[in-house]
Amino acid sequence: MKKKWVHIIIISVVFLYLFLPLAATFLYSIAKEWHNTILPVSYTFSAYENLYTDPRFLQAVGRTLLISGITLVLSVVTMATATFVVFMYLPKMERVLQALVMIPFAVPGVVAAVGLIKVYSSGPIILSGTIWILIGAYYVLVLPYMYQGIRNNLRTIDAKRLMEAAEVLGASKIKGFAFVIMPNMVTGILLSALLSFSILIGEFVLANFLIGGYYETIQVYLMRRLNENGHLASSIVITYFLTVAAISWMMLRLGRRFGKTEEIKEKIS
Amino acid sequence: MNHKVTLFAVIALLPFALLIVGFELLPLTAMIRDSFLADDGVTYTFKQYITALTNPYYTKGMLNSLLISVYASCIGMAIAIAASYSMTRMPAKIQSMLVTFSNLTSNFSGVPLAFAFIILLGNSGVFTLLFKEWGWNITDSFNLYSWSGLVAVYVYFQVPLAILLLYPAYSGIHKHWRESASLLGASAFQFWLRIGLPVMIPSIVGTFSILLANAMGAYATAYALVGGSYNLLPIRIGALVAGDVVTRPQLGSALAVILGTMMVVAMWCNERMMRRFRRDLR
Amino acid sequence: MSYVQIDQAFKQYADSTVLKQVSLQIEKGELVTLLGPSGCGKSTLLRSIAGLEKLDGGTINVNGNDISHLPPQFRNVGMVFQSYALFPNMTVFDNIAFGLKMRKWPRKEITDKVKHIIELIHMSDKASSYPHQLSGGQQQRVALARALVTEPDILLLDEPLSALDAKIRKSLQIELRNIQRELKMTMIFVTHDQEEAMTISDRIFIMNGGEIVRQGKPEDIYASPKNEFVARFIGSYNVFTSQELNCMTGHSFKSGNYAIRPEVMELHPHDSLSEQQKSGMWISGIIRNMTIRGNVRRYTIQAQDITLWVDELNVPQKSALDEGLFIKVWLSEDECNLLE
Repeated sequence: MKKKWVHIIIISVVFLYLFLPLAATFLYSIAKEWHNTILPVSYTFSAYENLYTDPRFLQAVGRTLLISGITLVLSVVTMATATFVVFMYLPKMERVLQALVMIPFAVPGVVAAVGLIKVYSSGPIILSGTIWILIGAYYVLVLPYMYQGIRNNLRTIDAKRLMEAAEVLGASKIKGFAFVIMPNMVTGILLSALLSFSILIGEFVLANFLIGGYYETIQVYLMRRLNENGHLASSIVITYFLTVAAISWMMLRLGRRFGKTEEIKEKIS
Repeated sequence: MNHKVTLFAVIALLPFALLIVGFELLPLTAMIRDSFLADDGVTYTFKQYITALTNPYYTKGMLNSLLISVYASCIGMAIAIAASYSMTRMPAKIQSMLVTFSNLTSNFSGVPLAFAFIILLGNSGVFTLLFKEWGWNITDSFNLYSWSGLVAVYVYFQVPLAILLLYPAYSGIHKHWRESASLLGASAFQFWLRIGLPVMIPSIVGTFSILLANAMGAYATAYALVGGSYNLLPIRIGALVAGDVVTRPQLGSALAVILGTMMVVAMWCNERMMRRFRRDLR
Repeated sequence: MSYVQIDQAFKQYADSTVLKQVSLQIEKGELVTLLGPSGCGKSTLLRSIAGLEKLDGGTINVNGNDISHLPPQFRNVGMVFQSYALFPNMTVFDNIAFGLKMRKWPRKEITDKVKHIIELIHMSDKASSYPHQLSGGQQQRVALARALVTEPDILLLDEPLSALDAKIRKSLQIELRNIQRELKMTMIFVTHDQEEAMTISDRIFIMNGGEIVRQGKPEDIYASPKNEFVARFIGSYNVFTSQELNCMTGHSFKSGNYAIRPEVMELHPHDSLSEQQKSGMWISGIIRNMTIRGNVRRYTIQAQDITLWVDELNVPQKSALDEGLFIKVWLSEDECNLLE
């Protein structure tokens, strides 16, 4: 019984450490007066009102959504087909594909930015200053997550077996893919896309280096206003964090639904 | 029939291949090539690497990056090992709550995290002022905008990640092992020494290398906190490539290659450990 | 020409030959089993018939058509997989209707046909359930219905029951057999379970190392295994060399290997006088071990350095013999099957 207390204390301390910065940011965002006290003296929502009516912020949100949206559509379409084809018909290529998509894990944002700026600021294709250089960078950034998600999905639904069953029942490869494989991949793809999305809306380095000067995304906007107005900045942080929390919640729910079929599959095999 | 399949495969793989080449392979090779060029961008030379590895300004940056990563990773690891073990002793419901919370906070990094710490411990941060009121001048021993502050912030983003990676490893220690070990006469300490730890070591080393890489490549957190004023490798690279003053892209490339190599080495350790782990399982 | 005729089927991977010139004939309405240990090529042969594997040589004819080079969707074969491979995004009804939709049947006819077959497998109340809501046995019945509904020329079953527990497996074996007789469907069933093969098949093909080593009716195969592999694989035959038999019985057998079923031997007390009355061979030994296998007692007997199994009916009238007891084993010469 004595030991149990030790564990409770450890957990409390660690999670308090994780919780405090968040809580403080939240309080700061709704504080009107806060000096030298544990809790603010008075509260106001004016920071949020200001933020949500600031056209510069709304534009930044719009830009981030636009860039992430294009990136994700591009990624879902090309990765789903590429992963599927390699998984089903080119199993020998799997290692190559895996190595290619894992590179971003070992290449931090600054390093990636160096190469991209080098290639696209001069030469035959000039993309720097356009959103396309950032979309390309983001496409590479989310590769590992998209690949892992789709790959695991294909394995979980036992895509090879399902495709065989569809073919024996008279479906062509394209029909099998469209009617049998695709519908069963939707949840998995959605999960990877959500995860990627939550990574993209928190991305600062690439955005700042590649087009930050011309094109303000949420994180760049946050960075610029950090020292200007603390209350406003904290309301941005809280908004961002709530968005991420909402995405995580959706993923959890989706994952549970998905997990159910996964469990059953395990039981069978 | 075979030709049809090949054609189909090529069409399906083409967009992916184009994007990968354009935005991953080409920039990487261009960067590596650039790092072997002199400042004029024409002559091949090792000069950039020599500068990078001998100029105290840059070696200091590397050392700082390495040190802060090692420190933050060690502290983060220690905290996570204790915390995730304590988590396994909690009821299942609380365990899943804590995992969810770790998952959430693992997204909390970069600029927003730096800002949260500024609110707490910055020059006019809540705690700073509060402690001053209570007669304790925290800034005497702690400066958020310097080494100690950076470590505190780095540890913050390491802990949830490490918990998420380590927690599953504990469930790899089967209850039956402990039971049979205790039936065979082993104490709890002996169990952990002879069975628990050896089974966990690959995950611990693997997690550590991921943390190391994660801290080494971190740019946004440090940039938001200290701007260009603290000498870290990623910040040096950023300044050289797109700085306000003089840009020396070739030297920046060389430093980027060095940083990338350090990350790859860390990742490679992880890969090796994981492989060993799997061989054990077989 | 037979209904299904496979000639010289040949298949090899980089380093091994999986099918070595396999030929077999199956008549319409037969249920035959491909039986063998894992890796013997039985699944590869089945998948080649379905078109899921490409043969490197040989032809496959079904119902007079050479289907060797057709893609799976045009072969008009049905297949039931070990993992069922039900489409998780579709209900039971939609799963079963899938094949008919691919064949572009009119909607009304699809509905009638699917409803009919769902009744046949006793699953009418589950028509709108999803696969994950069904038990393993129910999933397998749906998989069977899905394969049958398109009225294929031939139905292929790849270890369809091996993931189920013993009781459900037994009842599905009977159900499968009944449906097969009712529809007069030609079926090829792959299994590694010799008991299952004996129970359901009209004929059995035993495969080993990419070849058919024995074919015939279950009772014929059991009565005379013909070669050592079959003898060992089919049942718990005692397999002895002629020297071993000579040594135990004192007779002189023609050289070669012999298979003896454990239930044709009889145990007698070592001092019994029946030796004079009963013609045949007598082996002296000692009981090393006895296990109960349901309705049979299996004795492990040691005779000199040789171990043999003897089965005896487990009836209450006759009590079991103790381990360590000296014993005489009676054996008729006719029961020693000379193997190839």
